[in-house]
Amino acid sequence: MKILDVTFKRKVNCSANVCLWNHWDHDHINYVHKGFYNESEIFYEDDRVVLLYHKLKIPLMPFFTVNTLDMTALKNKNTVCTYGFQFGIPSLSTATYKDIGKDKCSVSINYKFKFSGVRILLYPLIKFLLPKWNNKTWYEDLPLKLRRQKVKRMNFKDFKGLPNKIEKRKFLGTINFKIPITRLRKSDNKLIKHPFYNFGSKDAHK
Amino acid sequence: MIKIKICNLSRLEDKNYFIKWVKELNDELIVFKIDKKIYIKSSICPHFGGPITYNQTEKILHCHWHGLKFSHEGKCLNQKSFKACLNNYNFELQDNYIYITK
Repeated sequence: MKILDVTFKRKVNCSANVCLWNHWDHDHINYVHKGFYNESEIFYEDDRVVLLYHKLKIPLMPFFTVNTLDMTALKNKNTVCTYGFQFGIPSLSTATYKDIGKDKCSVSINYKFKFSGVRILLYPLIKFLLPKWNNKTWYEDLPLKLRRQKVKRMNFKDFKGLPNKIEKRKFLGTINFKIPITRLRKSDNKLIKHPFYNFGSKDAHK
Repeated sequence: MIKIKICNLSRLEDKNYFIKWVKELNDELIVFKIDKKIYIKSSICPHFGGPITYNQTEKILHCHWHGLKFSHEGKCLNQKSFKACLNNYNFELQDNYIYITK
């Protein structure tokens, strides 16, 4: 058995809650990260977890796709854990977002892959691809985070836009983050169109 | 009423649209031209705040974050349930310059 354990650390000019929003805004995946994702579907989500199916394109090998089912959980108010299974290799990514000043936060993303048996042969490949993956997705997401921060400071309201009165286009308070984030209606949204999406009641076991 | 100078008309000659941050309005605007008619809307998508650009081939406005499409009137075209529209700005032309009036 062999464990690949890699951490990437960065700072960004937006609040931790804006980064968390970006992490949970799965709808953007099919547009902003379309170079990596062929298809994404949510099977289940609630106020703490989301179960997502992805068809991934591998960096530098666009002809090759991998199906993966990921479970993402909000571990605490700063930390998001994603448990995945790519190429039959169990993985855990842990993203931690911490405010370090007004509208500024630190981002730490740790990836762990557990290789066993013949899959150990894939260790160097994953080790080589991981920084490329992380770097590309980071720079694809960066303009979203900066813009989101800017519009939220202009008192932008989701699904409504900016206030009509110019003098009200300013907000100095805390930018909130709440999941599940509001999504476009099922009839209009490919991401949550699967017949299993949130099947049954959340409280069925009570 | 306020009157804000936006740009010279020549800016629409090459690309048929451009985006400009206007401090006085605290908004980002998209100025675009369809069949010689000029329109000015907010280029902040009312969904989550994404950037709106103009697709000259389809003659529609498009958000790059979540794929929402808007008509030149600012109405969402591809998400039936999405009711919010792009903010509209009235303008006037004077000596080859576009001025927003609010």
